[in-house]
Amino acid sequence: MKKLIKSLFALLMVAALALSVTACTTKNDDDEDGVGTFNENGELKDANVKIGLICLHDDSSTYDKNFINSMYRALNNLGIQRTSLELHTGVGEDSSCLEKARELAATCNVVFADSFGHEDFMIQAAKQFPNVNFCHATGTKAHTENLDNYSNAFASIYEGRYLAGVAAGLKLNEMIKDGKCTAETAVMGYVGAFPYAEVVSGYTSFYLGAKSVCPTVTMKVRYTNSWYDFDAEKAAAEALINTDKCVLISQHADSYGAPEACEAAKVPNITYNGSTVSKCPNTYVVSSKIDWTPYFEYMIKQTVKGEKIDTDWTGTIATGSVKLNTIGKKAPASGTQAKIDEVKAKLQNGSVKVFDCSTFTVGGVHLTEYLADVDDDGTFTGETNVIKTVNGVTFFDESSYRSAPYFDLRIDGITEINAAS
Amino acid sequence: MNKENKKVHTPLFTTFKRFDMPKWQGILIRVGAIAISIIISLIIAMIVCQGKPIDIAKFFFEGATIRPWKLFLDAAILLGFGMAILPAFKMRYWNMGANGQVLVGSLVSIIIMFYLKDFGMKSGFNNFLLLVFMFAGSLLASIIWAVIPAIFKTFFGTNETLFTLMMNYIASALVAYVNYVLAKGAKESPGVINMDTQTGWLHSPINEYFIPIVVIILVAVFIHIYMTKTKHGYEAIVLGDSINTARYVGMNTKKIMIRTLILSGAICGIIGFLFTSVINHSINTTTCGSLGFTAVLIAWLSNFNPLIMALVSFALAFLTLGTSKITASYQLGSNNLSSVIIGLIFFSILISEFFIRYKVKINIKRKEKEEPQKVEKVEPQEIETVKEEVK
Repeated sequence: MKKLIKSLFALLMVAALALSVTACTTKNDDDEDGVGTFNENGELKDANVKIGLICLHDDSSTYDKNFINSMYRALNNLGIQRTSLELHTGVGEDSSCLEKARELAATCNVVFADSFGHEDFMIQAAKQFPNVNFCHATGTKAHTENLDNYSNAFASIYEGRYLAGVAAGLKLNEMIKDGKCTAETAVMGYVGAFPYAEVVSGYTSFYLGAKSVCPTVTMKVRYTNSWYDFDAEKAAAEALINTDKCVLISQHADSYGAPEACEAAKVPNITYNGSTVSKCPNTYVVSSKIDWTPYFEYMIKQTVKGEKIDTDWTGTIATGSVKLNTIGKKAPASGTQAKIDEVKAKLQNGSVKVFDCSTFTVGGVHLTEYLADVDDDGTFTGETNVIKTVNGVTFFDESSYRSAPYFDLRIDGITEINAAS
Repeated sequence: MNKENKKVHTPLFTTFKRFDMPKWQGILIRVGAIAISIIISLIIAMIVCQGKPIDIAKFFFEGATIRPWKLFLDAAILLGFGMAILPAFKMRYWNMGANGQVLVGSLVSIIIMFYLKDFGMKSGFNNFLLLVFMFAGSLLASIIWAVIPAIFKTFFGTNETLFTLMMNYIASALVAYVNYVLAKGAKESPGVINMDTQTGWLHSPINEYFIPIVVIILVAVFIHIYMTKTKHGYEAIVLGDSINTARYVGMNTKKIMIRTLILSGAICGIIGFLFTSVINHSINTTTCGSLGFTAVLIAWLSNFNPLIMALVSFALAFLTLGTSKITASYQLGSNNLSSVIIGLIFFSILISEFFIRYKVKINIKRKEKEEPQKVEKVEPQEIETVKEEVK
C-alpha cells in the first residue's frame, strides 16, 4: 500500500510539473507589418525572417528532396542565411503536422508543408496563429477557407507534361516511319499512381501533347495505388509493354521502377521530376518537373514585406516553375528540342491551350460545359463550370479556379486498364 | 577418454548473478552510463551538425521544453501503449499487436463520427451521445482485435507473436480501405473529419492535451492496482510464471488469458478513442507509427514497473522532441541523427542494467582439466537465479 501511495504521489507530481511549466510559456506575437526590407539587388537586408519547412518524408525521397533543394536555392537567391530555416522531415499526415506547425509558429514568420494530407492540420494551425503565414503545396481548400494567412500553391505541370507529350509524339512518328510500329499500333502506356484528378490531369495533358503531333496515338493507363512503389511500378510498366503492346511509356510515380523496366525492354520512356539519362541512357527521352524555387522566393518576400500571399498560386512556364529537363542523347527523335521550344513559346503566349476542347472528345462529344469539383466541401461533386471560351478557343480552364488540378475527365483515346470502380 | 575431455567447451565469458552490489553503486553506474552516452551523442551531433556544443544543447532543451503540454502528451501516449501491453506481457503473452488494436478502435470511432455527424450536430446532448457511441465502438473493436489471437492461442495453440503482428497489417489495410471509401475514391483519405462543425470532437478543459494525459495517468494507476492488488492480476502473473502451476492449483487458464487480453484491448480502445476524438480527428495507416513496438522496449526497460515506465516514457518523449529540434535547426534533412542518439542512450542503459545485474568472468584458457567442470557446475544455479529474477 505504501508503494502505491508513493507512486500515486509521484504521478501527481508529474502532472503538477506539467501545469507549472505550461504556466510559464508565453505566446509569440509577430508584428503584422513585415520583418525586413530588401536592397536594390533584391536581397534581404535584415536577416530576422524565420522559415519553417515541413516535409512528409526525408531527403531520401525525390518528392521531398525537390522541395528541400528548392528552398535552399530560394534562400541563396534572397541572401538569407540557412540558419533561418527550420527543416522538419518525416512529419506524418496527422496531428504531428499540427504540432510541428504550432511549434514552428512560435519562432517562424512563415511555415510551409509539402504533402497533400498535411492540409487540414495546416488550416487548424493557421486559425490558431493569425500572425504567421501558413502555405501548403498541392492543397485544395485555401480558396474556400478564406483565411488571410493560409494559402495553396501548385504549378501548371500539365503544360510541362504536354511538352513532354510532344516529344513522345515525335518519337512515335519516327517509329512509324522506321516501321517499328504502324499508325494504328502507336499505343503509349502510362503508369499512374492513383486515379485522382492530379494524375488524370497529368496523363491527359501528356496524351494531348503526343496527339498534337501524332494524331492516331492511343494510350493505356495502369494504376499502382501508391505514390512510391518500385516493384508495382516496374510490374505495371512490364504489363503495359508485354500485355498491352505499348511502344512508349510514361509515368506519374516517384520510383525508378518504370524507367528500369523500359531500359530492359528497350522501350522509349518519358519520366517525371528527375532525368534518368545516366541510369537509362538508351531509352530516356525527356522529363518534366516542378521547380518550387520561384514560389519559395515569392512566399518569403511577401512575408518579409508583410503583404498577403496569393490564396492560390499557380507556377507556370513563365514563372520558371514548370521545367523540362535536358532531352536524352539517344532516344529522342531528331528535331525534338526545336519542336519543344516552338510549342513552349505558343503555350506562353496563349495561342496553344493544353485542354483545347476541339482536340479531344468525351464519349464522342466535344465539351461545351463541365462542372468540376473545385470546392473541396466533402461532397465530391462538381459545382464549377470550368469550360471557357477566349478568342474563339474553347478550353478546359485547368488550375485557374484553384492551384491544384481538377481535370478528372476520362477522354476518348485513353483506356484505363485497372481502374477501381 | 582424453579425447572427450578435450571436446568440453569453455565459454570465453561466464556470467554470474550479482548479489553484492550496494544500491548507491547501481545508481552511480546508471548515471555514469547515461552521462557517457550523452557525451558521445553530443560529439556525434557536433560532427554531423558542425555546430557548437552549447548551441546543440540549447536547441535540445528548447525543442523538448518549448511546448511542455506536448511533451507530457507524447510521454502519456507512450505510457498508454505500455500499459496496454503490460498485463499480457506479465502473463508471458507476447502481444505485438498494440498498433493494430489501437488502429481498429480509432477507425471504428472515425466511422461513427463520419456517418452520425448529422445526428451529433442537432444538440449538445446528441453530441455527447455521439461521443459515447464512438467510445463504445472503439472499445469493442479493440477488444475484438485483441481477443481473436488470444482465442486462437488458447484453443488451437497458435503463436501469438506472429498472429498479433499479422493483425497489425490487416488493421492498417482496413484503415486504407475505409479511408478510400469515406473519400469516395477521389483522394486517399477524407482528412480531418467534421473540421468545421467539430461534431464528435471531445473538448478538454484547460487545453486539448489535458484529457488524454489525465486519462492515461488514471489507466496507469488502475493497471498498477490491478496487477499488484487484485486476484485477477495475480492469476495472470502465476500463469506467466508457469502454466502448469496455474493448472495444478485449479485456475481456468483459458478464461484468465482471454480476460487479460480483454483488458489489454480495452486500454487500446481508450487510446484509439482519444486519437479520434481529441488528438487526430482523422486516421491513416501510420497513425500509430511504431508506438506499439516502442512500448515493448519501455516495458522491458522498466522491468514492468508502471512508475519507472512513466519515467522512461517521459525520457523518450524528451529525447525525441529535443533531438528533432536539433535535426530541424541544422537542416539535416532526415531524422537519422535523432534515431542514433536515442539508440545510443537506450543501448547504454541496457548495457549498464546488464552489468548491474550480472558479474562477467572472462575464462582465459588454462591447461588444467578441472576448469571446464567448475563452469558446468555453475550453470544450473545460474538458471535458477535467472528464474528468480523473472519472478
